[in-house]
Amino acid sequence: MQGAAAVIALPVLAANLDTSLAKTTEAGHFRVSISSKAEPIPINRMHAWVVAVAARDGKPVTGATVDFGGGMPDHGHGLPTAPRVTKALGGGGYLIEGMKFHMSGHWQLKLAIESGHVKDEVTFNIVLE
Amino acid sequence: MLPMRRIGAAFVACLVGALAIFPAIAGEWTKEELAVLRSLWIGSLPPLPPDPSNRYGDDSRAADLGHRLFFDTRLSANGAVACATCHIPELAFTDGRKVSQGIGPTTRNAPTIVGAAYSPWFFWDGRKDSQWSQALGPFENPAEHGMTRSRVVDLMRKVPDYRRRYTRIFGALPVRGDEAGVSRAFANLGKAIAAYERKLLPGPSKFDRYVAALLRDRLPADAAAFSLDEVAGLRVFIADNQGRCLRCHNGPLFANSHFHNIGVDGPGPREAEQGRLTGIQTALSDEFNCLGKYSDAPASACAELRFARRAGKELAGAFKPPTLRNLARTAPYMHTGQFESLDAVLWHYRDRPAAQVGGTELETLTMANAQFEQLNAFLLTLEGPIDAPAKYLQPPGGE
Repeated sequence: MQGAAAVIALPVLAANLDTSLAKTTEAGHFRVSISSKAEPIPINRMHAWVVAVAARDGKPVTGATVDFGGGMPDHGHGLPTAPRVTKALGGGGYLIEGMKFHMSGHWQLKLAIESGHVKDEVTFNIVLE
Repeated sequence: MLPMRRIGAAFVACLVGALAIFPAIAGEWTKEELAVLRSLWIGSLPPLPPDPSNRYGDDSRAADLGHRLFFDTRLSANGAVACATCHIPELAFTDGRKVSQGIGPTTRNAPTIVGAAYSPWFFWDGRKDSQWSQALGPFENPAEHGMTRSRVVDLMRKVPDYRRRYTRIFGALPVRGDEAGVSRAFANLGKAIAAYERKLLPGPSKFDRYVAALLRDRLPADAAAFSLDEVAGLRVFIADNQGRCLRCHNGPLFANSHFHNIGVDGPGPREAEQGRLTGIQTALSDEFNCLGKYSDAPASACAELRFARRAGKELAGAFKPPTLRNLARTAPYMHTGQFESLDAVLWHYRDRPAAQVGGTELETLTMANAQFEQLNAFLLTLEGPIDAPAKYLQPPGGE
């Protein structure tokens, strides 16, 4: 039931898939990094992630709204659960609870961030094997 | 039987001869493939984690009481139905029927209980979020035990052995008419049954012995006991460009405990075939769920329920993939026993019919007919004993 997976880039995907876990949002408003609280990232087990949001100048963004979604683009399905922010950790950190991956492969995590009147989005790729 | 079988068998016979000389051919797995095999191996099954919603889950007195309840036909309206009627130990705790027969005909195939304690969701549609809560459902289902909770608790008062055992574990039984007390006692009986069911775990299969041998040594002598067909079937099973089986059947129980639509429609009305879409709503409103007053868990330990997906087209017609362990004993297959044989199941994956409710997740498989045969051969290597104290695999004695 439970297994462990390492974040690795499959050779076939490595050439054109950006698996960086720290990115600038699409319109350039925020710098966002994400990390799993459980390492290696488990399969079939609930776990939490931490999202860190900073402004373009690197200052932490507190009080933002972070919506979380995603899925497996090659399979056409979403996340098996409905993870959400349950806690602002201060310093631009947000706790996401309810994460679960139920199979290996290429997953996308999509974050929509809203702070003040600024909205922006970012997509992360992770590959679980 | 598949048309390719005879040709395949002749071909295999030639190769088996070659294998005697070159055993490495069957045992040659890459490091990445070995990691996948290890993830499926029974040795990777962690110790059963406690169920925080059931503080009696690992109490051996509760397991002994649960064992008695499980086999007791007095817990049914006609005195003829016990949990064990549809969950027969010799059939890996299934019943060999398309759909189970309690007081009357039910609409679902009885799934195995072996290893079920690892799952966060119960019933094919996941309408229960704990094993103890699941165990309560059939008692009050008119087609199964046809009881009421007060009649179940009455039996605990009437039978001295039950009264003694119950009070030793849970304290005094509620007085008649104390509805809240009766519901609590009813929940306690579910917790005792779950404590028993938690003892029913899968034992090592031929596949596990093969993987254990591979992990000890890349070219072990006993690994050759896995036939060429079985090795080939295993390759198909783990390949995401062939069988794609690991998407749902992963981990040492060969089940991800999520919900998937593979286009196996039951004969019931569409509203009864919505699967997880309605199952999650039932679980959320269930008085016996993890967040309810009969649960022993703090809300923080109810992540599966709190963060469950509640909507979305993917939930329509989605059912829980069963474990693939002990398939030889658990036919017929699927939630209404649609398929009598493993061959029929595999043909379904090849033919990929459209779903009547929701959309099928199945993709076209680029596999030769012979590979379906090999997959079948591999799946039968997952047959193993039940890892449980011998006394729990039969009705309780008179002690």
